[in-house]
Amino acid sequence: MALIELTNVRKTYRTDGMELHAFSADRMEIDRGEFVCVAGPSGSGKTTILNLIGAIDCPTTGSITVAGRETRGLSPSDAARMRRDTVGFIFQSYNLIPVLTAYENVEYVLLLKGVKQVERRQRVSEALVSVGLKDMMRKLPKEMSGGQQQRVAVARAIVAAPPIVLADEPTANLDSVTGRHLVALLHRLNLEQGTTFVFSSHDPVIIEYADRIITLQDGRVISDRRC
Amino acid sequence: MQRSRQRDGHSSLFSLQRYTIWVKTFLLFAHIAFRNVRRNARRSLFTIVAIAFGLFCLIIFQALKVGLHREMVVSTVQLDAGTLQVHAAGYEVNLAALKKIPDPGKVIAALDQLGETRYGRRVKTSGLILSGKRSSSVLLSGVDPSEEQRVTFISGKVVGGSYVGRNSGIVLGEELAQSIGLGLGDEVTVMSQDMSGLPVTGKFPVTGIYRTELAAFDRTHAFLSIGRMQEFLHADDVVSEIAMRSDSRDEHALAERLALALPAADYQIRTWKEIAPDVIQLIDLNDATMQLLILIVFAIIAMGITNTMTMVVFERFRELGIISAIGTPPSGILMMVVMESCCLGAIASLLGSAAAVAACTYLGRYGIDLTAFTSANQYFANSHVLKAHLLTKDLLAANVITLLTAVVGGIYPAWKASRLKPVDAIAHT
Repeated sequence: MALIELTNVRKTYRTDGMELHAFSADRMEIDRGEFVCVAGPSGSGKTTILNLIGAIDCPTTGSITVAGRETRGLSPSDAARMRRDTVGFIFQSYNLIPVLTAYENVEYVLLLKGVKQVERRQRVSEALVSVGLKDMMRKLPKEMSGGQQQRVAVARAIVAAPPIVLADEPTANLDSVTGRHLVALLHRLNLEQGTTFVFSSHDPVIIEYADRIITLQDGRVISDRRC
Repeated sequence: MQRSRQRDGHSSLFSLQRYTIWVKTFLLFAHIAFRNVRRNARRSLFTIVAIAFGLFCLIIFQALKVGLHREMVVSTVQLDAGTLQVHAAGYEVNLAALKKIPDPGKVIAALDQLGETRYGRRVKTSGLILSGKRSSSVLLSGVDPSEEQRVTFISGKVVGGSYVGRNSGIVLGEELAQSIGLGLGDEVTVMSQDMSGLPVTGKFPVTGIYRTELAAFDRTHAFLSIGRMQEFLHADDVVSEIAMRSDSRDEHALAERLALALPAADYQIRTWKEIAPDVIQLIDLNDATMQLLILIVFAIIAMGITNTMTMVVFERFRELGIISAIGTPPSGILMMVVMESCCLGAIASLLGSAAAVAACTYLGRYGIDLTAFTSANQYFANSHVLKAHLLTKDLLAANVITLLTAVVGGIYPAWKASRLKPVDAIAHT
């Protein structure tokens, strides 16, 4: 059974009486340990597919199963629990909690999961060390560069060892060198821990590392190839 | 059995761990809330100052109100009424003829048994004071000076001559003495009715002049020793009223205890609340007005908090979306926003209370001089200085209400925040 399964999924937005078909897919499966890049121009539905998989949004029709659990029809609390237990998010604009230090931002997810203090301390330290921020633990986001903040976001996404990490254009606000380092880091985590990564991006670096590229146009899958 | 015990031990350890994590999560939310308060320091400061000022005003008003009520009660009790008055059954305030208390010794014995030692035997009747062509109707009180000094404060208000003594003449209020042109040593003619209703006339030297802060009282009350009064009214050994002053705050219970020893067929016992119902009505009216004021002030505070927190939620729309996206349940977001609101309320409570306690301490010592407004007010017979009296329960209640208001004010924006869809919030710019 695939880790992520989309069946007859349609996502339609309604604005000012107009219907906008954001995404549709008859069948899509992503397996455990894949490093997938969803590529396509702006407005092609890249972010929508990530939102649907991450239970941030729900499909208009169809079914989405993530780690064996149907996401459609989940209550807000159940959806939050599902995200907490199954998915790590990396957003385009870092999106850390500005009043918490790097350490606290990463720890936050483990607190939500109810991880014990000793284990929490160890896992947060390991996550921050793995992204090369051992010395930045007590810094607030505003005291860090964009690249550092994004690495904290990566640490936050992986610290709870979720089976899936969804990354929405994670390199968009980074310079090319920092971006490459970040993707290399995520790829290493993918290889070492078997975490499934799904990116939305048209960054050539991500495409270069990806072992599967799903290309979207106007909300439809126009190609799905393994590299 | 052993396995069951092990399971129980594991279960309690598990519960403890869960509890610890809950506490830690709660503290994290509190930590985030507190730091968020500092995030927009100026706006937080304005909100805190507004709440603190509202709380400060309420505590001050409440303390002044309590001080005012105490002053009113002191004026009522210690001017003339006492805490309780005992009369003969069937006594009516407006009845001109004297009504003799059947056995005053029995009343005194009953009071002694209750441990109440501050009482005064009186002979009280209405009369007319004449001086040359001028006259004035008064309430004549024959008092035992040593007893009376423990019940009322008139003896401390003498401004000329001396208070009533066993063989002294009449003691008049300053206003009365001036209005009919009398001074110390002058002789005054007093007319009244004796026990059988027949007119009696007597001449007394003015041996004392007193001045309370209440001109109306001073104009209408004159004092003689109880012996001279009994002699004047041909009422040997007659006592028409026994007033007592007690420290008990429950005068009703005191009256009930006294009534056990004094049968209602012979005696009438009235508390100061029955003697001066207008005072209680005014106190009740003040309390009701204060409650309305509290409601208005806290409604304004709640609106201020709601407004601030709504702005906060709107500004952090995207941030809250991210917090939700990484797995925070709606209840967690609700708690986070309410805690921020509580933080504002708690800081404001501390500041407002500290300022109010300081102000109440000052006003408790020096008070506010209301002479210009209260010179003709019967509730300020003892003093025109209104002093604050802060009760611990009022301080605590005001703080609890402030914190509750902060919670209530934060609930709506918190509820809105908890219901936001992460997809909309994250897309928000």
